[in-house]
Amino acid sequence: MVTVSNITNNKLNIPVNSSSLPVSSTEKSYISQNFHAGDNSHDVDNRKYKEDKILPNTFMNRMRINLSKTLDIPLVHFPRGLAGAPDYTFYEFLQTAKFPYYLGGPILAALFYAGVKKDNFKSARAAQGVAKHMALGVGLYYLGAAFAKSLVNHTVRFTRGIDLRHPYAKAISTSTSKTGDFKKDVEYRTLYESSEFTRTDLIYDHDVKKSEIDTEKIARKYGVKGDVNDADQTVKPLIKKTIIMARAWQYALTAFFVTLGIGMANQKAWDKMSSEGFKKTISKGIFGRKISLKNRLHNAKIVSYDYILKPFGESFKQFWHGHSKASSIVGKSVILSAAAATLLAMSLITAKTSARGHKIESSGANRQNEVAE
Amino acid sequence: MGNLIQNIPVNRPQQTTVARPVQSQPVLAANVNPLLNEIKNRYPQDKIYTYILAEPISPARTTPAGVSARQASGELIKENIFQSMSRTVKSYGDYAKYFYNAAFKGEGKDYSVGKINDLTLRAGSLGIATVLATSKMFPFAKGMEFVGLATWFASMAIWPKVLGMPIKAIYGVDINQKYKDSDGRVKDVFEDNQYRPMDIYRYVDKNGRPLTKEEYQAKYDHDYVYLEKIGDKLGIEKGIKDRNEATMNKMGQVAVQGKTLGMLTAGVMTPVLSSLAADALQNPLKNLIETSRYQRQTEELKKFEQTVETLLGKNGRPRVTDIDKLSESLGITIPEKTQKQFESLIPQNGELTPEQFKKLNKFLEKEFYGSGFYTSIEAAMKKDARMTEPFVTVNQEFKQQLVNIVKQSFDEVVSKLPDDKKALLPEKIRNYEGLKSQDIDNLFKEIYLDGVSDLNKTQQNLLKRHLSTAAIMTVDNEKQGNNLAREAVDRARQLINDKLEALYDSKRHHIVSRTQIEKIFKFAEMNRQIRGRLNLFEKATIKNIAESATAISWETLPQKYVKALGFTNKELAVLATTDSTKATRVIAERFEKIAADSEKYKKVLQTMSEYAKGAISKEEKAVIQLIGTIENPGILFKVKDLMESSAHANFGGYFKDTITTYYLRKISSVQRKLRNTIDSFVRPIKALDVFKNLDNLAERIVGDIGTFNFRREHDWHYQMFEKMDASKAKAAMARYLKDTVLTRNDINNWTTKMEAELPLGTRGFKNSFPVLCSIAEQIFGELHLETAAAITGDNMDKIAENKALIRKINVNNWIMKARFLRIDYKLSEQGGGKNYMRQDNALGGFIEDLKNRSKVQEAYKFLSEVLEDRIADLGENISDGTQRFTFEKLQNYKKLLRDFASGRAFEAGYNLDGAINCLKESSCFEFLTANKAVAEASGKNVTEFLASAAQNVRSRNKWLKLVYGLLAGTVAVSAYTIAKMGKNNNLNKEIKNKQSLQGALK
Repeated sequence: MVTVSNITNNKLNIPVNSSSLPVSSTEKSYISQNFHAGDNSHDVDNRKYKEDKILPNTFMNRMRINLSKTLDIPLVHFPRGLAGAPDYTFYEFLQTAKFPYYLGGPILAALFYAGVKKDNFKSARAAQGVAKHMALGVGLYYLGAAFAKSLVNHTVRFTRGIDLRHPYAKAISTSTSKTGDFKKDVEYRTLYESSEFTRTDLIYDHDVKKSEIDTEKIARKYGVKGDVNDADQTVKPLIKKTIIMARAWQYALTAFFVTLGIGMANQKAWDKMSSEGFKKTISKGIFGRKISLKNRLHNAKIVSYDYILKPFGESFKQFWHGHSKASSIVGKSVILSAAAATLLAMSLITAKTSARGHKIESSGANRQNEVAE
Repeated sequence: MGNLIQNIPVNRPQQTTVARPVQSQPVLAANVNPLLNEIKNRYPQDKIYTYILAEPISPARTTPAGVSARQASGELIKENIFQSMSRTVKSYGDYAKYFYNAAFKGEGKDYSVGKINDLTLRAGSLGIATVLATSKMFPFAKGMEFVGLATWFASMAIWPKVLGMPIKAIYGVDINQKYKDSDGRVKDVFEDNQYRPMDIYRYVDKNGRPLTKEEYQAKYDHDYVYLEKIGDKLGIEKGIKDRNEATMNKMGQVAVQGKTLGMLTAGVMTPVLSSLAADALQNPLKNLIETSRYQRQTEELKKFEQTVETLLGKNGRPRVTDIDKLSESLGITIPEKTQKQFESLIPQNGELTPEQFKKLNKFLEKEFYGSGFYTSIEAAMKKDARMTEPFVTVNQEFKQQLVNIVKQSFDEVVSKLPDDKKALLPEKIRNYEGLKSQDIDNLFKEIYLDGVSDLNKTQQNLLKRHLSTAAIMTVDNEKQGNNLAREAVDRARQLINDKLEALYDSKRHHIVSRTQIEKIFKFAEMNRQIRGRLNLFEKATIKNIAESATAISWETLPQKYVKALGFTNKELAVLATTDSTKATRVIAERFEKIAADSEKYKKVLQTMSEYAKGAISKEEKAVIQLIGTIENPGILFKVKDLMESSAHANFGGYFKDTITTYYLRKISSVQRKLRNTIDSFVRPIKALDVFKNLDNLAERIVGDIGTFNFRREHDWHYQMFEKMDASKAKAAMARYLKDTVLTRNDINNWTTKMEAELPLGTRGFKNSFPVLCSIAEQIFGELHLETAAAITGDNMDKIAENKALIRKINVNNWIMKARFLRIDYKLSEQGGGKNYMRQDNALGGFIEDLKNRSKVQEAYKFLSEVLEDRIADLGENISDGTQRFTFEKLQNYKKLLRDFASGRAFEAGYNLDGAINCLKESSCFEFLTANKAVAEASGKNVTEFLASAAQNVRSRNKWLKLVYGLLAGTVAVSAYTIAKMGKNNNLNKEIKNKQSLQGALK
């Protein structure tokens, strides 16, 4: 089924921050260089993906993509960006933006630690404690952020059957890369990363025998009954809505959960076990030589429970109770508001994106949506 | 339908410049789409394909809106940093709106949803700062969390701008250039390299200011003058075709390079700049908090003091002694929780079981732990015997139970016997009648318990003795000659006693006078809270607690000492990390160098004394408020007086003493804290003074050659030098002195060190008391003239305060000497020490000086300061009643001293000699009570003082190294990259027309 949005998507695959300004002369051309009337001479196109392709949404696949994306940041995007590659894209810019995000926290912690007095025994011990809490803080910050994202992802996946992380490979024309050594021919993106240019078209990829995505299932999950062809019309705007709400709540929940993470990292529960012991248990107890499997498993249990899970749970309790009146109020309100926001997010996403009771308006509604000039 | 289109061998439908407003321009496809023409040309055989424009169907409200045709109206933004900041702040309102629409309605665009992240990132950081701030105990630490947050975001915003400046200066390209799009959204021009809104440069003047079309055309004859100017800066060849496009492309390259550089460096620069900024803000924030805290607490304290003064009235006769009224006037309320807990422990009728009584005691003990109040409460309870002793109440029921016990006891004994034995018992025992109520009443009368309602322990025992006797009496005759009967009666007696004891246990209770104990509780609680209130002031000022004024000067000033003394990095490392022996050696070397250079000596002393004054005056101010002077006692003395009289009026002497001790202990701890600070900060000055005069001092102790030789032969006190000659002894003494003034205040340590200087096999220090005295005399002596002159300086404005500092140093040394020599006495056991301080050569010099009119003022000041310091010992021995001196005594001596200062002592008829003798004999100038703990605990020794400062200096240096290292590294990388920008490179090979032609021909 072809809809306008499909066509416009394909036609106007311009980046996320699109603008309605007139397109300038440097607008990217999507015609293959090969496609010139009467021109048969061209380089061999040995790109892995010659056109945009939906990829299997498996855990391993996602991990592989994440790894390749991460490696590409220093190996591809930075060299290309620093050289000012003409075909440098907004996607690459966003990828490089992750670098300061992950570097800034640890460097700040390191700077703070550098200023801590370490010369005598007492202060060295205190410094160790400080370092531990800072490292934990950095770790739990990122963990909190990841948790918030996955919370929303899973809500959407279970209620609506679409996985916001579903990857696809965007084939990049290498024609302009001829000018350089770093050829970038693919960008790994996700189908639903844009609400305006959602790549729903890829779902309908006829080449794939067994479609990656069961569109009927999605429609069912959205609560559409009856003809799936019609359902498609209903579901697409709802998917758009889902994307917008999901993204907004992911950002919002991140704020709550990183606060929770930092709050928990600052509790005394983590002081009980030494980081030295943690390292040793892992290096000698689990991966050391001449240790029976039973002991390895036992040590793995100690590492995961005594060193991680138990203090994690206790730190949560301690954050709740607080060590003073103010901190107990703050702890409770952070925890409660994180829980409340999570519930709100889940229920809003579920309620507002349902096709049940969704009013299917006549085509006349279209006029209302046009922006009056 | 769609499938057909997808089968067309085109990677992607081509986008044409007019294609966007698809819906509103339903034109014939063949005419409009060159792509279709192309297809038709290329595949003429495939005639079946016709392109039919899809019908725009938009069934739901959420179909992409705003796809209708519009006039492009982008505009370049030119703004300064403040405008951009205020725009950023304002935009957060929009972002909140975006969030509401997206999160609650599911409406928005990629742009608006993306902006939500900016908002929540800041909200999250604010949350983190709040969490971290509440996890900190002190206001400065709390504040710094927010300062850190602010500097973090500031540096995050500032760094790209800083990076943009040189790039703009060199290449003319502003990588942060913003524009407003048709929707009024502000965007980065160079955010997306694939999208270059060239049009926005059309009507921009040469300075980058956007103009309206009319304005622009009035000024220039052609478009894009700004781009042309940038092109010149970028070195784009003039006169080439499409030069502006070429410029735009080059700008794109520079912008991508700049933005990527920004991303590469932001991860380092943001924390580095943030740390530097936060560090710079630390001291102002610290000072601000310190000052405001001090002011607030001072005001609170003043108010409190006024209330106390009003309550106290004049002539030391308090107007109010009633506890409730006192608490009310002082604004003290017992926390509800504590009050409730206390009340729950005492039943309304005041009768407590032993268990409950124990609980009450435990509660009180815990509540007043460490205050000594519990002892007084206990004493108060003992006074009313009923409170401590368990009582048994006598009533009709109790008497009936006595009757029962007697009867049951006999019955039990009899019933347990086998039947054949039972028969052997006399009838009266076998069928024991028991006592009647009347008998019990008679018994009570006989033992004088008639009318007693509660039996105390003695009375309980009395009853026990007589009850069994009375019970047995009735059958006493029966047991004559009958062993079995005798046995049975004995057992019955036993049983009666046991049962009675059990009865007592069940009935026993403490009778507590609820009103009385509540009164005590309230009073103790009131005093505890008063101390808590005074603690607030101490916490802001003199208490050894983070962020108090003291703590701040202890953190910063020693570091300044280290800098003033000019330690090298290597020396600092030794000071900070090695043991005290090595550290002392390093310090000694440094001090020797300074002492050898007169100019330097002067300069170092002046710098150090400035710092010392700062540290001391800060604390003195607080101490004056708390304990005042002998003439004008401060709040602590006033509270003490008020509470003493209230205690006396309500409870009598036993509680008054507790109160006295309670407050005197507080007072002396405050005074000792001040002494501690003074001692710590002036000790390095005195140590330098000793180093300067080392040879003289050593010679004064061992004597010149003649004296030394004589003493060695004839004075057994000097026998420890028996194997040394004069010069060797002097050198050993000099070495010893150096060590002593720098190391621990530990007399045992000192003697060991002296003995280490002596050759093997000589007698130790033990019998050399005069030598010890002489050493103390020298190292605790007055500052030498050169040192004093250096400290006094030439600045006329400061001479008075500098002289005061010199006096302070001398007084401090004198007090330290006095305290130490008492310990020496223990060491020598020769008796010399005991009288040593009574001899005129100790204080006497000054007391004698009082007679001398030219020296009287200086002597008065000196003695006054010594006298003030005795406040530290006021609490000594008060509990065992051997108090050596009282505050009143101190006041009297101060008065006596004032007679000399005012000149009254020199008037005719004044008993001058009497006054002098009185002062000389005064116990107030005797440091007999001085103890080792006080002496050794006061002040930090030089080594420790400098070593811990060195640790701070070093950790700061390390931090500076890292921060500036990162800063320099990042700046270097940035400078290098900026220098290379806009040039051709691997990825930017210049494709001249010629080359591309060749490529095409190939």
